[in-house]
Amino acid sequence: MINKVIELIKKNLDLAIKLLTAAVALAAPVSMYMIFAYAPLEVSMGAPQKIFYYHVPIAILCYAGFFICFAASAAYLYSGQEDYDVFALTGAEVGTLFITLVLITGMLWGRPSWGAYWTWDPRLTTSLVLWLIYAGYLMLRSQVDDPTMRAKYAAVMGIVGFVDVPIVHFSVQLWTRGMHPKLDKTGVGHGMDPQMFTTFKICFPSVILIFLLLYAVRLRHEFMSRQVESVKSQARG
Amino acid sequence: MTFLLAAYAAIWLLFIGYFAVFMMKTARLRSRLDEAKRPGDGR
Repeated sequence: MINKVIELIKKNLDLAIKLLTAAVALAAPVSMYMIFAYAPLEVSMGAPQKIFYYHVPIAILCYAGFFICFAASAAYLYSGQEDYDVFALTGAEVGTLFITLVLITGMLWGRPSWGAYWTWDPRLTTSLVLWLIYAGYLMLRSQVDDPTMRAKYAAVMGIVGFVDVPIVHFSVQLWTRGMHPKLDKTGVGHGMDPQMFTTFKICFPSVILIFLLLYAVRLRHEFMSRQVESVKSQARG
Repeated sequence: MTFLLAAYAAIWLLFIGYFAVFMMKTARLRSRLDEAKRPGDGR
């Protein structure tokens, strides 16, 4: 069953990329219009608060990338099927791109709001550790020549590294002395202004589409690159 | 406003850069794959 799904994904990647590119081309300008023209200015933070509309979805989707890496790594160790290694690598790489953006946008939001680009706040520190773990994962992959050993080592690291994801997520509750605000779970829109909440509801799917597009583009490249390797090795005999 | 523009510039630069790099790399791989699969080509 799962192998059929993987084959279906492989066969339809070109079409999926075309559709996702069209969807992103439509959704991205709408989300930018909502952020810059529709959403009101927040009273205390002003314009930099508008970073929130992409910062939060990007942060949530980096978890998604690392979860794909974790699940595919476990599946690889269980089955030894190379396709899972491709899914794991792609999840880790797109997740790393997203966590990099979380750190950059967080710093650019922190400077005007907290007066500093960086503080050793629990959320920031654990996010930096997460970035280092997955940067390490990608470095590890580049250092091992044997494909089977590379996939095995990477799978172990993909599983162990995922431990930091819930720590990052719950760091605000675990360490109460941090500067990151806790989510207000009361009322509609988590206590947000209705216009702000509408903007957020439009930006979130836009970022999901961008994530899916980048994931699909990277996945197609990796599958094709392994196909080229196998054709080359067959030619060598 | 500067920080807001810088944040969105960084976001779009990285997104578009990553997308463009892998689209180009895939196009190059595709032509190599076609070349390798061409019958009678010993390379």
